[in-house]
Amino acid sequence: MAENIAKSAFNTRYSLDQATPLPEFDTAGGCAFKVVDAHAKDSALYGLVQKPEVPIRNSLYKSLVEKPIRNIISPIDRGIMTMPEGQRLVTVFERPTGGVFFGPDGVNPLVNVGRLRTNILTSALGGLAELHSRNHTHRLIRPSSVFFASPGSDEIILGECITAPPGSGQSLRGEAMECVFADDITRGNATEEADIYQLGFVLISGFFGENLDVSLDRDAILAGRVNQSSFWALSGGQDVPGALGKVLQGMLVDEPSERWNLADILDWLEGSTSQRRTGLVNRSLSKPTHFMGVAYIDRRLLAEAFALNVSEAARYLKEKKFGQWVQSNLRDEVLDDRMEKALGILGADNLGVSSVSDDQLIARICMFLHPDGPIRFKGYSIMPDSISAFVASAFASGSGDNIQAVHELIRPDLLSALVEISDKNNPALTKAVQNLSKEMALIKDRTLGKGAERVLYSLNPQIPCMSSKFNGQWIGSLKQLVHGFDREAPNGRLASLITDRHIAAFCAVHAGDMDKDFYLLSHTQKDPVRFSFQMAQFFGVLQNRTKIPALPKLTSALVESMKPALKLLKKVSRREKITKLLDSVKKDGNIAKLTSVVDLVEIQQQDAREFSAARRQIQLLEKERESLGRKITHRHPAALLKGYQLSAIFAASICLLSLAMIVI
Amino acid sequence: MAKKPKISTSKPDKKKVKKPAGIGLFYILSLFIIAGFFSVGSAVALALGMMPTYVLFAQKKTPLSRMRSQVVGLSNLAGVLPFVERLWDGQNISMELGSPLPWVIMYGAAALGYVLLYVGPMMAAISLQVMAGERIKKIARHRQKLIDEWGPEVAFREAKSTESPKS
Repeated sequence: MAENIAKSAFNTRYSLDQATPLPEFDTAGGCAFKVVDAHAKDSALYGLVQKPEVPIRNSLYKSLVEKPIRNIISPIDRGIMTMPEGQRLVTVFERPTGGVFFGPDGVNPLVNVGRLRTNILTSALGGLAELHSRNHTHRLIRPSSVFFASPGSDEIILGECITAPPGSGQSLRGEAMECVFADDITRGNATEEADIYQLGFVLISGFFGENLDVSLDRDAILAGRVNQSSFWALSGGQDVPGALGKVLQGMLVDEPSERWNLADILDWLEGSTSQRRTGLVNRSLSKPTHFMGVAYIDRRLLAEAFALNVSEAARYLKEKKFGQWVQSNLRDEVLDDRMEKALGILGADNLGVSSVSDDQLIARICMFLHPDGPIRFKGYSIMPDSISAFVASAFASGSGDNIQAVHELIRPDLLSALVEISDKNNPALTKAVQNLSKEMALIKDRTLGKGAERVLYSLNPQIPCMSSKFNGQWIGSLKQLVHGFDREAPNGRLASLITDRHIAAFCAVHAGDMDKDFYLLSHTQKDPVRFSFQMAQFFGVLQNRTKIPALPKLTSALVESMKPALKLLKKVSRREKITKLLDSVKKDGNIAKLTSVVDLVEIQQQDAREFSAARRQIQLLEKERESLGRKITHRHPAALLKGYQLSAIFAASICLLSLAMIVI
Repeated sequence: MAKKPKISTSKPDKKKVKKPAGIGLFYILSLFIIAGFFSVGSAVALALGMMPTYVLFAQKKTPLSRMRSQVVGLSNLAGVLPFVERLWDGQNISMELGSPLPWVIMYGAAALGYVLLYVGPMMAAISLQVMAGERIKKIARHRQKLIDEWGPEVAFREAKSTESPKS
């Protein structure tokens, strides 16, 4: 009820004008529309209609809604709205009115070097400094989502970064090198340095007066950035003169450890120059490797090529004899037994025969070549801290192959081998694998409430329930789920809802500690009485946990589902009494009361016991009636006994009478 | 529920038959000795007048036969006692037992015992039949009450007990 009120309050206050789309505020998470606030009609707002399959950055949302950051578009509120395609989560943001830094045409005549330095850079740094101090990264700073605060203002506002996974929607040129090899949706939170790179990209775009987000071939962009370094690739070999050139070079350094940080930039703004050295990290091969007609000199690019051509790469490495290839092509690399085992080539005659599949083998080799890079597996490229986003996108695609890839990826043997291969060069991977220990056990378990679906919601608690049974409804919390059950209850689909794998997994994650309930539900499905009672108990627990006072439709449906079980009760009076009891509870809508008052399983057991006793009693009565039905003659032993007793009394009376007469 | 009358339909227990048979004889002999102390005539009257009872006592001892002996014995004794009392008072034995009337009375009394043995069970059978009828009515009421409460199913015999092995 509280949720309904909140929802209706949100809907009452904010109205989404779907006729006025605001594409400049669109993100990978959804489309933006103008929003009118009934309490402040003059305020400039927009609402982003969330795509259900795209996970939002919930902790960042909470942080920003609680304490907005001046130079970052911050959310005001969010709630469920009904759209033509169904219920959707709508997040309302304050809308900067000064226009976008770079419009769709990619040109912005307003920018000049002075403004870049004095206004744009300082206001962006202010926003980022505050964000980083809260242990969050922005990860979506791009020329097309940087806005001027108001018309004529030099202050800029960075676009919002909560409605899509980090880095999702960022161009290949605009993404920091440490994340650029990952797929769009799985680039990960990265570090503060990645934000600095993205800000540098915005500034260099501003300096040249054009949006450098031009779409080129992926391989060409990556090769350009790797071979020339990002700064020179972006500038097209053209130097940026003066002090601005210095800071841009520092911000666009490809190695995160060598890139300027906020402190360096602030120092630069105050006139001092950073003493950071660059070019310390070497990622090149000692000699070019020719693979599929291309000569590779950089380990990262070779890993990328291997990952995109798994079977060819496996064949290539087998032909080349991996151990020998490593000795000749990589500097300072020695393959010991431990590493060979982790790579899956120990005892395999240098890849003549490998103990693992080609996909796993190439994933391991790619990690060996690019230890701080993404996990490259089955054509996916995933930063370790965004495995959750990978799982979400796999389920959102609905493709069996993608979901199978999730099953194959979240396995202890592969992930621990990758950790070992990365050899402390990828702390994010080590941490991610440690955090996935629970999920690795869950994914193998096919029981209700577990499996890959449980992993999906466990890793993405902010994602709404993806069950097709709730098509068009936004089920993002346990309360919404329970209300969803209440809405669907009159359709008579409760049993199918409760045994749906997505719904069960969502419920298990959001309700917590319900494994026993799911076990009982799945094991009582063939027994209608126990199942209906178990179902009522399950919903009773949910009602208690969500503290929703009344669920009339759900209670009514549960009562109706229990009534067929009542027909199995033998005792007529008990059946009538329980029916009356159920009807009275139905009116309250209190499921917990329903289960506490009517323990159907116990009642049924008691009924069966008493019925058995009654049947025995009837059998005894019939036996007795049968024996009594026979004619009793004077020769019947009982008649003889009683008759003789009677006669003896009579004879004794005569004898006493005779004696009395003598005495008298 | 009213207390159910105990109607035993079983035959008397054979173990009960094996009671010492000499106790009855011991009583009779004691009676003779006591009577003999006071009057020989009385003892003779007892010995001869109670002859039908001795016949029964001589039969195999069962609880029923013992009861039969008691009935006939008590009845027989009722016929003998007046004559024993007269002989005790000093009447002449030939005067008292010389006519057929005393014997008719003494043996008639024994015969009355036999009549009681015939009539008693008949009357008991009639009353037991009446009581069984009442009990049957009660059982029917109780059975119907159970059926009303549990449905007709409760009165069905279980399938395994009614079905033949082949079916």
